[in-house]
Amino acid sequence: MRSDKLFQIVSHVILVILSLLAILPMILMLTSSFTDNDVLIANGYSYFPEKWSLYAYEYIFKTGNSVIRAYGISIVLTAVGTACALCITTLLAYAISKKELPGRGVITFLVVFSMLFNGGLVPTYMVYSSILNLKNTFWALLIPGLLMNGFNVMLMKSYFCSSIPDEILDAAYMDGAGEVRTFLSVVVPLSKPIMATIALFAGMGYWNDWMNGYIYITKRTELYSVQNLLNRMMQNIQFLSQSSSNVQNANVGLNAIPLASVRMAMATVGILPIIVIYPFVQKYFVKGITLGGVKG
Amino acid sequence: MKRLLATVLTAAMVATLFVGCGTNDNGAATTDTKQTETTETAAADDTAAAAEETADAGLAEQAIADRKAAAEASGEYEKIVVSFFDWTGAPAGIDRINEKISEHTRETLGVDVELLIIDSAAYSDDIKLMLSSGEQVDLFSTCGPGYMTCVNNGYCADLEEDGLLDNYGAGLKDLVRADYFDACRVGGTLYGVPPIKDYAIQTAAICIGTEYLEGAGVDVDAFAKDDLGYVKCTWDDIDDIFAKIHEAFPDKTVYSTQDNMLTQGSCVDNIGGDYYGTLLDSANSLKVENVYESEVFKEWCARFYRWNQAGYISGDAMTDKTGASARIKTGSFMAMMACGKPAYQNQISNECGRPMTVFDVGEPFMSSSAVSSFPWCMNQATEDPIAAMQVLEALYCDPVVANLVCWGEEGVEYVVNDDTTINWGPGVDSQNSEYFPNVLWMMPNQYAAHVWEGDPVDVGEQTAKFNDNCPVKSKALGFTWDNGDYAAEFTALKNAYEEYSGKVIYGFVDPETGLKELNDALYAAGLEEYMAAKQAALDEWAKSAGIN
Amino acid sequence: MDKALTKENNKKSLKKRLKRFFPIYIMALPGLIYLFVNNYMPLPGLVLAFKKYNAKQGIFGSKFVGFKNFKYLFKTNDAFIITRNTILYNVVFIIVNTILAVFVAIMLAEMTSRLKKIYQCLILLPFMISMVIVSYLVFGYLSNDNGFINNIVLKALGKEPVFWYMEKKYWPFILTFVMAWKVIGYNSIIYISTILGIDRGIYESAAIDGCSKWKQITKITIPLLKPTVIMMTLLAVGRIFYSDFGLFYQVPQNQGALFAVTNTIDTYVYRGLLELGDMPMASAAGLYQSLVGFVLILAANLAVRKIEPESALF
Repeated sequence: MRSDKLFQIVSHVILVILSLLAILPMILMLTSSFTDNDVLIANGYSYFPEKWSLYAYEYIFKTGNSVIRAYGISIVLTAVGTACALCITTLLAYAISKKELPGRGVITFLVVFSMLFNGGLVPTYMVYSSILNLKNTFWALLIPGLLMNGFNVMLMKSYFCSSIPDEILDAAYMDGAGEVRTFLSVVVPLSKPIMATIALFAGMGYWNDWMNGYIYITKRTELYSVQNLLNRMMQNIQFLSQSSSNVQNANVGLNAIPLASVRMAMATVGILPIIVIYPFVQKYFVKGITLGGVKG
Repeated sequence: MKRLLATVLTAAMVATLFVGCGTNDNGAATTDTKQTETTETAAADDTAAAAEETADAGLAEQAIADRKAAAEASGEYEKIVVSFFDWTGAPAGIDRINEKISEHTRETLGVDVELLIIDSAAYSDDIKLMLSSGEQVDLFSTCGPGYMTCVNNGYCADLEEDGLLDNYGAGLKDLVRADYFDACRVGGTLYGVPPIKDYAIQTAAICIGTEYLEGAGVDVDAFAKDDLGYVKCTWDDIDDIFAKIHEAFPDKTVYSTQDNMLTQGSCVDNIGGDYYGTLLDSANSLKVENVYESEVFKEWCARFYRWNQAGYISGDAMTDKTGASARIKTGSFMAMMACGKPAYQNQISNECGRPMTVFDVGEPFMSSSAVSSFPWCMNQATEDPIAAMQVLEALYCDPVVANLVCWGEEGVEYVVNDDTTINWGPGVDSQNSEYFPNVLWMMPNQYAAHVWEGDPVDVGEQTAKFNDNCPVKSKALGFTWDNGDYAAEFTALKNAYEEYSGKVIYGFVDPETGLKELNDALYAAGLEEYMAAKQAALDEWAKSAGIN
Repeated sequence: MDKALTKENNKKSLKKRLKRFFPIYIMALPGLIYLFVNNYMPLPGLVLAFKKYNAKQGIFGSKFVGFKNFKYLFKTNDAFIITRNTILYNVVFIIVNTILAVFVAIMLAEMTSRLKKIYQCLILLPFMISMVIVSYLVFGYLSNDNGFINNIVLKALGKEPVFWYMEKKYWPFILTFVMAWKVIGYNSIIYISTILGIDRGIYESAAIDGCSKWKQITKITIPLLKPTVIMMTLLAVGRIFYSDFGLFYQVPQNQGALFAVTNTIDTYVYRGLLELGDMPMASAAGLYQSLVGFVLILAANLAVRKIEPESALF
């Protein structure tokens, strides 16, 4: 079909442009992370730096806490967190997608309300540290804030409402399937795209989070996740260089810390795994759903 | 909201670090404050003190004995948690050091001590959360969250309640000068003990790369030297020198900017912690004035305008936030301004990665908040204030404790040289040391511990002298102000300042028009009201403190 | 069925329905418990916004000061500008980002080539880096002395360099561009998943009927995307008084000359609280932003319920 071909060509052109726009600054980030720090400050960021250097990466991997172990924590956290988040979110979203469920409006309202209002940092901290005693444990990275959010629940609920026709569910009930079986054998297979989406969002949330580690991990540095570790390193260097006149000059080697390039190197180190993992998640975004197949 | 709060708290850290620590404390060289002053006064009330001391000692001994007995009975010592920040988070050797300190304090005080060290990035948030939620922290440094913030939030205990300091912290009273204690009082109540360090600064030290001076043929030896050994000269001389190095090195930018013209380049006293209403002549007058209309500020702006017109300043000065010394290190910038202190030349040369010559253009100054910028405080919720006070005293007065806290374990982290200075232990350096907080300037009393090799052994006395000899001391030394009732004005002022200051302080606009714009905005934001409130608070303070 | 009759039936069957939906309640339970612990247990802490905090008395025992902590949000000449900026930018972002994201989503979902995987991955990448890093990258392009735009692009075009960080007229476009650049990939995923949820059978039969690709998109895809778009917009309306702090503070490098077009409620509050470190004032700002959002979302939801009851949030 001609119109289809035209559509494909136009799409390619536009997407190539968008991809370039997206990737060019990222390449700048990459090249500047490999640029000599002094050159970076003196000449600014450049795609073709005057002097290349690996020092920023050396610094990250050699200093203080182990980045490798932090990667481990991040991977476990992201895997466990994503799985839990996906389960909880899906179950709640499915419940409020049921049009006849008594109390549906109230529950939905509670979900939306939770997106708008928040008790604030100190009260939240008190709940998790004093009441639940999660401080300095792995759970403190997993649970606060990230496990489920109203946005994802609403997103999923909207998908359930719009993309899973009532007729299919009714057909399942007719066959004598209970709620649980209907959910597992009809709803879940039909919801792969949205489940992949929520898994991706939750996973990105866990991977990028540094706030939980920042607040709840004060003693066990071995529980630092990558983003937490990198953020701390970055801010510590920043403070260190700002208040450098306070530091024992003779023995810290302050001038050896390549702040400008380290910043970029850290950002690169932080997103690298996503580039590796993303293709595996992606296969769920590629194929559409055919209702006929499920019905039969 | 959580996110906003978080960003605010996080950023408050940066700010307080800057405001609190950055400007006032000048780490490398510092003080043993007691020496000069206490010897004079001590003689006077010798007899009274002696009588009192026996009584004190009795109570303190009793408390220690009681705790030891309790520990005997329960098999466990009471624990005191001490929190402060370092640059890397809890050091690898923290458990070992805690055990070493506790071994000693079980004997001397009948308590265990735990150091809770958090990295600078998170300390401000974490300590506030812990103090708000009732977790155990008994003693903490206010460097990070800020002393006034801690006092205003009610985190700090009154150290003199029920004779706490008199009876259990007698050593502190001997060590810290009475007027420095007074400097930490808020509304008459003592909430903190200042760290022993340098409180004075030598304002307006222009640092220029020595190689550039030589390259431009500037004869440094033609100038006189000041007391600290720096080149003494005038602003006209600096203008000459800049012109010469600019001519000799046209590819390089002459001056590496930083928004420090008031903090480090003037004797203007930012009473109450901000520059909206200041003391222009703080040694003689307690009149609160608008610094942005003052001659001092006008001069600075005119100077920068002149420099900018002459091409000494980078076009990115307003946007580029890289530190001044870091830019000099790259070799594209040649000069900067900082504040001087004993042994500063080595330090700045290290920072800039090249030999620097320091030109002293300003004068020494001690601002009203110099002493009270980040005292050590006791948590108001602490279970045993007596034990906490005794540990605080040990941190200041007990060399064993001070050495462990500052440097770690002898023979592991450091070894002692023949002249009592110290250096790295075998196979240890700053990267792999298991305990190296590197925050000496924040430590309660770094002079109770060893001195690092290369620094003068008597650095404590030198710094004490530097403080004591500082001729320009603010009359308002010890004035603190809670601006909570004027938060609306403060926020508006801060926004107005940031909106209109950049152009004029880096000389991108004629000071005449730029300053008018800035001042109009500040007055529109409520400067007058804010200054009046400050003046009223200052007058009241002066009256109660008997200063006029 | 007759309306009255349905009601009657409903009443009778409530008990029956409760029984039937029992497993559903169990399914919802983990989520509800989490919601309670994570969101509702700390909620009483909002009272902090009306207090003068003192650790001795704790949050609830501290002195009540009424609306004093809110005063600073309004008692300023900038109140109008920061509110206007916050709302206008949000409106622009909602419109621009929705249109672009839907557009990208449709292209990606309908594309047959395998290259689409690569496009999708690349477009998502900017979402993964923090605004701090973005601000340095933007500076790399716009810096006066070393920026690409001034040094390479404008030079090549023979134009005078522009002092980007002094000229406020460009910034509404720059900020909109940066925001779109950062979130398009993320937002488009939401729409892609919805499109993929549409029964392929519908398209197949449309194709058999001779519908062009363009027609399929306008007649099938876009109408079916409408509920998701409405929902996303409603949720965005609830956050209309918030702004991305990093975008408005860090990306313009906190430049005073640009405040007229970059100062929002969040950046304004931040500048003050940075030094005040006052928790109740921060709470007050958040509560104010939430309340306005709440009222707006209720109003918008009511309107949607009138026009398209299916798409209403609750």
